[in-house]
Parts: sequence; C-alpha cells; structure tokens
Amino acid sequence: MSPEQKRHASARLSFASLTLTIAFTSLRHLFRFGPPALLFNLISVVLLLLLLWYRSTRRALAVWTYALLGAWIVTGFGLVDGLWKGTLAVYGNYFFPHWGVFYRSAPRPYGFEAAGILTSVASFFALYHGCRFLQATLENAPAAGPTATCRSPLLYIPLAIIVAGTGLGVWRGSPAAVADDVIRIGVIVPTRGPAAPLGQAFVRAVELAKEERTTRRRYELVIGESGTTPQETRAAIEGLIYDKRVRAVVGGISLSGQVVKPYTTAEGIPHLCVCSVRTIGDGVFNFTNIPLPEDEAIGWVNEARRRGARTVAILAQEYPSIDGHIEALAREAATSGLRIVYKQRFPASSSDFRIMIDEARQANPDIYMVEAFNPALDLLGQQLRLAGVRNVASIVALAISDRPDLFEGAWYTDSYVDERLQARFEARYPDTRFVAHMIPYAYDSLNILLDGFESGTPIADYVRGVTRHQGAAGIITRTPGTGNFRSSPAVWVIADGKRRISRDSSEEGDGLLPQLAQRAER
Amino acid sequence: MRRDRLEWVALAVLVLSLLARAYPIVQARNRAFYPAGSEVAGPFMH
Repeated sequence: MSPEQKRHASARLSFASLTLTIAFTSLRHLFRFGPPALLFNLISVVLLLLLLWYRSTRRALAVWTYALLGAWIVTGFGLVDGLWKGTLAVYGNYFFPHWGVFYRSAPRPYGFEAAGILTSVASFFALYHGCRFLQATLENAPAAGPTATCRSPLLYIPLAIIVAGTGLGVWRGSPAAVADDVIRIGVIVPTRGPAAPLGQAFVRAVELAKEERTTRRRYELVIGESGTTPQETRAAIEGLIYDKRVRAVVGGISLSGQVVKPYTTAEGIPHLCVCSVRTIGDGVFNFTNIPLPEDEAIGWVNEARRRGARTVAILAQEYPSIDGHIEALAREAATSGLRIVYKQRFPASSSDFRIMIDEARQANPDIYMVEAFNPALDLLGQQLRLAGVRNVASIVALAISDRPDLFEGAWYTDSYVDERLQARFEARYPDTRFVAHMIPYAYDSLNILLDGFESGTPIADYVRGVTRHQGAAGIITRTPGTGNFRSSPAVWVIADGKRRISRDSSEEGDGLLPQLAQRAER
Repeated sequence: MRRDRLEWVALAVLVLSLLARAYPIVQARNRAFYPAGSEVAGPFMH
C-alpha cells in the first residue's frame, strides 16, 4: 500500500469511526434533549467537508481543524461521557459498589446506557484511526520532509488535548471536585403550587434553624424545588444528589418524599421528611418527622368526643397524606363510638361542592370534617358557610387556608409549637405565614442533622441512633429500628380570624403529648 | 485476512456481551427507583 493509499484508508476509517461516535452520542442525547439531539450529526458533515477540503487543497488548516474537532468528540463524548460516565459507571458501580470512585448518576434508561457503551467503543476506533491518519499526513507533509515520523511533536497536540480533556472531565465528575469543607444539606419542598405555603414556610424554618446554630463546621442549604409532579421532584432530587452532592436531605410533603426515598436509599444518605405517609420512613436512611395519621386521628377523635360529637361527615380531597388521615380517622372512630354518617372524596380540581354539602346535611352530622389543599379548601369553606354550616373541623388543613375567616369557630388538630420559635420566626420573616404543620418539624429535622454532623459520627449512623429529641415541636420520639419520629398534635381553633392553640383542650389535660411520647419510647 | 476477520468477530462478541450484560444491571438499578413495570423515561436534565 502506497503512503497515499495508506493516508486515504486511515482518513476513511477515522471519519467512519468519528461518524459512529457522533451517531451513538446523538442517540444517547435523545433521552436528554429529545429529537433536537439528532442535529448533532451535522458535525459529521463538517468533518467530511474538512477532509474533502484537505484532499483538494492539502491545506494544513483543514487537517488540523479536523484533528481538533475529532479530539473534542473523542474526549468529550467518547471517553468522558460514553466511557467514564456511561460504561465504567454502569459496570464499576455494579461490580465494585463500595469503591466510591466511579461516576454516579440518576437512573437512566437502558437505551441511554447502551448508547454510551457503543459511543465509547466507537471513540476508541476514532482515536486509533485518527492517530494513524495524522501520522500518515505528517509523514507525507512537504514541510515535514521525508524524515518526519510518527514521533513528530505535532502529533502529540491532539493527544495532549485528549489526555488533558479526559482527565479534567473525570475529575470534574469525581467526589474530589466538591470535597471542600462545606457540608451541603439538600432541602426539597414545593415552593409553588397548592402546597406553596407549606414549602415556603419549610424553607424559612430550616434557614432559621441554621442561622440560630453556632457550629464548628460550615454548612450550606441547597434548595431543591420539588414542583407539583413526580417528574419535577425527580429532577430536583437528582440535581441535589448528583450535581450538588448534598450529604443529607430534609424534605416535606409526602408526595415528594415518596419520590425522594429511593434516591437517598441508593446513595446511602439520610433523609428526614416532614411527611405523614408512614412507609416513607424505613429506619435505615429515611425518617418521617411529623405526627403519624393515627396520632392525628387519636387527637382528633378525642377532641370531637370531648365536644360531644357522636356523628361525623367527611369531605376530603384525594391526596396521599389526606388518604392516610381519613383511613386512620375511620379506624379510630370505629373504636371510639364516633359514627361516620357521610364520606365523600373529591379530586383537587373540584370547585362545586354544593351537591355533596347537601347530601352531608341530610345525614345530619354533629361535625363536618374537611381536609383539602387550596384552592379547593377555601372554595369548600365558602360554600359550607353559604350553606349555613358552622360546625367544621379538620386535621391540619385549616392551617393553610388563605381565608381563615371562612372557618371562624372551627377547630383542627395540628402540630404543637413552641411559642418562642413562633415569635422568632414571625420577627425574622414577617412576610411568611407561620405554618404550624411544617415549621417546628422542619426546624427540628435540620437541628438533628446539624447535631449529627457536629458530633463527627457518620451522619446516617447518628440519625439511626436518635430516639428522642426535644425541640420546637416538643418531645419527638422514635422506637429504635423504626423510621417514624412520633409526636402528638395540639388542638387549634380559629377565633376572630386568627389561629391559636386551644386553651380548653390543653387545660383539660388529656395528656396527649406525654402519652404518645411514652408510648413511642416503649 | 482470516486473522482480521477473527478479530472483528471477537470485537463484535465483546461489544454484544457488554450490551447484554448491562441490561439486567441497568434494569435492576432502575427498579429500585421506579415502581414495578415502569420504565425510566426521558427527557431528563440531571
């Protein structure tokens, strides 16, 4: 084979393997960016034009542009993305899960990972044939003269770019790249949508907890917007864990807590969730910190009985945490002689409740138990008021009503709150509504994590060892091995358009708080 | 020529093995994150 033929052959193979690398990369990126990722294949056309330009003019600029473009493709898409972040990540993390050196990423579709394997194999060919092509070109270049060999220093320029680029790409994706002395803690809640009042209050509460602590180590709170859909929550937790490298997570809202749980489990980081869905807490990495539905139900039924109610009508939105409350309430009512005479669940989009209110009135209940998020909650409150219904009660929901005046005289169970925390919070954040259902638990959850980091104990081990914590929500307890911090709610009333803990209920001395605490400790 | 072909066959077997072995690994990992039967779907940004 003549030198010219050799150069043509290596040029064709170099181009073919680069084209394959680009094609597989574009397939891989289809999963990220959709059909526009296919436009990446236009780079193959550019490479072809550069080769044709070189063949017709022998301009060095053409071949070196081709070489640099090829080096970028081989490095960025072949070696870093396809090999390091794809093939080695899949196999390395599977066969050597505890080494902690391989790139970690969120779950990816098989097609994405397969395209990564193919990209990395094609890039090896591109690297090999690219070097052969450059070598043949340099050997035949007039300026290099007949004695030029593959050891020409020019050949090392693209190779140096590839080695340096690969090293940089690998380093940037490694734990060492973010191994500074700041401990990042993820905060994942929805700060928009129907649960926004809860989420915004949550964020303020953890910020206040961090501000008020004097610590030896430095901490950074990284906020993840969990949005209103599981897809948004996944994007948020993946960003927190795999991009921001948080070392613990505090979150709120059961809907997002259910999505977050498998991520924190897979990555072995603790997750304290202000969530009422019991199964989110596994006692290993995931813990709930809010009264469980049965704790809420016990408190609610006790208060209903104390007020002389014998029958109840339930009008509640379909939602995971509300489902838990309603189921627990039904169980507790059955053992306490409180009869459910009407029960109607409705979707979040409901706006006309008149028929169900009429049906409930026909059952003549002593009390109407309502639970929903806004806007449904306040619409329901308005229509109940128009229908002349005043004997309304709830679990938690009235705490997030934008129109407490609609529920004047109503009562509900919600968290016990340290009044001093409420005063500090309202002074610090006068524009943020104090949501009792979130704030003390968010505040306490962050403090548990800070205690753990400050202690120097591995953080997941520390949280697993906490069975009692006295904080803003009173005493919270956890039976060893379980995933639920338990606490008891207080009874709140709405009077003069304002929410406050009921003095009647607390003064009567049901002893709910200590009873539950003792029960959990046993 | 025969050796060349053998090398290509060996390479093809290696790549296919890599692809085939990756399937259960990826599926097992994804099952931990998603409810049974549901596929990991794009688009995603992280």
